[in-house]
Amino acid sequence: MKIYEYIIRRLALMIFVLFGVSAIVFYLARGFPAAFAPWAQYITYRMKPSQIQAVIKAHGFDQPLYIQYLYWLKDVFHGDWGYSNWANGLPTYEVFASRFPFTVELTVAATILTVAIGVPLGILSALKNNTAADHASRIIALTGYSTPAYWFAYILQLVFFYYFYTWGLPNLPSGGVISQSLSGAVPTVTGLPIIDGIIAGNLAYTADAFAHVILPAFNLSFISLGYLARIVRASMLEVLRQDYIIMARSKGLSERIVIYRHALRNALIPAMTLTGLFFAGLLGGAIITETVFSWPGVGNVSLRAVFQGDSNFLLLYSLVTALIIVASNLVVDVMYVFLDPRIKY
Amino acid sequence: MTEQAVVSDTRESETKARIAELKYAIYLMRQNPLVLAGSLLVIFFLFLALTATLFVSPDSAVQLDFSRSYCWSGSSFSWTSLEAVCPTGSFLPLGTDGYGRSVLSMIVLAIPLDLSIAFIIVSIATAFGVLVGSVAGWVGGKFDEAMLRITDIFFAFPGLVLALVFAALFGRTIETLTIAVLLVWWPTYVRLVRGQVLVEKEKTYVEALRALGVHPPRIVLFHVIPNSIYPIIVQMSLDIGGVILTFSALMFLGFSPSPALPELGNLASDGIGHVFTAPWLIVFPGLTILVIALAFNLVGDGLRDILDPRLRR
Repeated sequence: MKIYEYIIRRLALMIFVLFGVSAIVFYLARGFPAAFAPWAQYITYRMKPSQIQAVIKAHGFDQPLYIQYLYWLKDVFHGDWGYSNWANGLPTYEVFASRFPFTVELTVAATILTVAIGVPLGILSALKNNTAADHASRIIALTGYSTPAYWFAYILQLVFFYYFYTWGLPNLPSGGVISQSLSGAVPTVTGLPIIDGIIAGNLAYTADAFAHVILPAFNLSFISLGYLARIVRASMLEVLRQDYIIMARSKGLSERIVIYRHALRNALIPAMTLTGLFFAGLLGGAIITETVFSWPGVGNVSLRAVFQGDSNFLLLYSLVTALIIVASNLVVDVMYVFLDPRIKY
Repeated sequence: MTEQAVVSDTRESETKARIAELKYAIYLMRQNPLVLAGSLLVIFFLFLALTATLFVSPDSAVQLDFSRSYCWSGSSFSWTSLEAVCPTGSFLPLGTDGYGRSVLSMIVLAIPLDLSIAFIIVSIATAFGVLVGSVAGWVGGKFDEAMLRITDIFFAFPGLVLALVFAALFGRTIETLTIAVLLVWWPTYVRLVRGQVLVEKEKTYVEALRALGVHPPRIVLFHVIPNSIYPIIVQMSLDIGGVILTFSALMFLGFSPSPALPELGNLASDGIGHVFTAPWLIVFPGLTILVIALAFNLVGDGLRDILDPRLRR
């Protein structure tokens, strides 16, 4: 099979998966009696009964569920994702688009932290295999993915916001993306506060935004940096046993060059793909971390949408997240072919 | 030799080999201090889960005393300058929650609940995975393709969202939350067992059993599954921690059937509004979850290294 055939097949599967996800969420979100009727999101209190009837008819809410789904698909293909009631009836798409940059900023920060800590930790424990350093890194790794995210978020707040304050140290903010006094100080260009501050030349704004992202980003990366470290360790150990490494050593190359120039490059391929998947997973919004740190990203909003029965937002949100996850899986698999010429499809 | 005799003979030697393998694995486990520590912790928590009601009466979960809510006892250590101090003479080593109950007692009462739910979820997911995954792997064809596509859909979901939507819809009961978490967890096992069956299916012993005319369900159930049991056990022990984390996160996010239910995530949830005045209420239940999850992860991670001959060094 040629690589492009493989990609086409995967893209076809991707469309199938997206239909599946939308159908399941549609069934769960609209198929059961809820506190609000699903058409409640499409009407305003100024509408006359006849107008409401027209709305119900236009979106097929008087039809059986599977017909409603077709109506919904038609709306979506026309770019109409409906409205979100709690957001003052704003179009759902706008709500999502305004919140997504915050999630992007948090995700990028968390990924940078994860790689910066996880990769060296993995290398260290591979080189010091089965020593105290290896055990320590294993414990850090396992502690990371045994930690309840919500709990660690509050511990970070307690220590770096509250205790640092009581000890008279410079403390980090406990939540939000920007201090109240600076809110709105720069025009929104990209929607990412750190970048917007740089564009506007307002360094105080950027610094403040940076201070706000540290704790939530660390909270997210702490959970997965250990896993990354374990993967780096395992692939590093695998690579170090290869013949070409023995060859490099027997040529008399220094251990530094053997490890950093010869071993690490190949060992990092699995780490790279894992980082890609981690990044994609976080782009879907870290619900718990965003909620505890009052970070206004899509994960935070999706929890609110769950509680308020906002089926429009849930449909858009889960579709975008599923798309990101499936697409990144495909990208990772295709990248493998380029990174490792031995792999063929 | 008759067919029966050959089969039972094969099974006997398989069993012997497995016991020898197990003995070697236990030997390796004892060599690894981390796995040993994890196993001891797991045994401790299992023991505590079975005997919790001997130490703490279940009634203490409903004995509310609002005169001592959110209080910390002991003057030797103080969390914040804002905390309330418990009335003297009461034994409250980890402080109290909003209902004036001892946090320590509530944690002890919560451990059996959390552990049993985690075991139930992981066991059902495994049973389902073994059933569906082995059929998919063995039969192949359309059924396999369909199962693959369905698991694809579930893997594309951000796990927590599916559980949240489900829990929000079907009410806040422990049963609903259990199903919500199961919904997230089952595809992993189907894929795992399917992969194992695909590998084992091509091996000579399966061919031999087939040639002897053994029924395929028998081959799968008595030979293929036992031979691929280790990765399943590793996955189970790694997932116990993950399931407790997810389940308690749902509780923490507000899907608890009752705010007074002694469940670890729910106990921590009570402390949300009091982080800077009664931090112990989040610190200790969360720490308990961490230690339980860590114990199972240590065992699972160690087992994976031990049972995977490629990593055995």
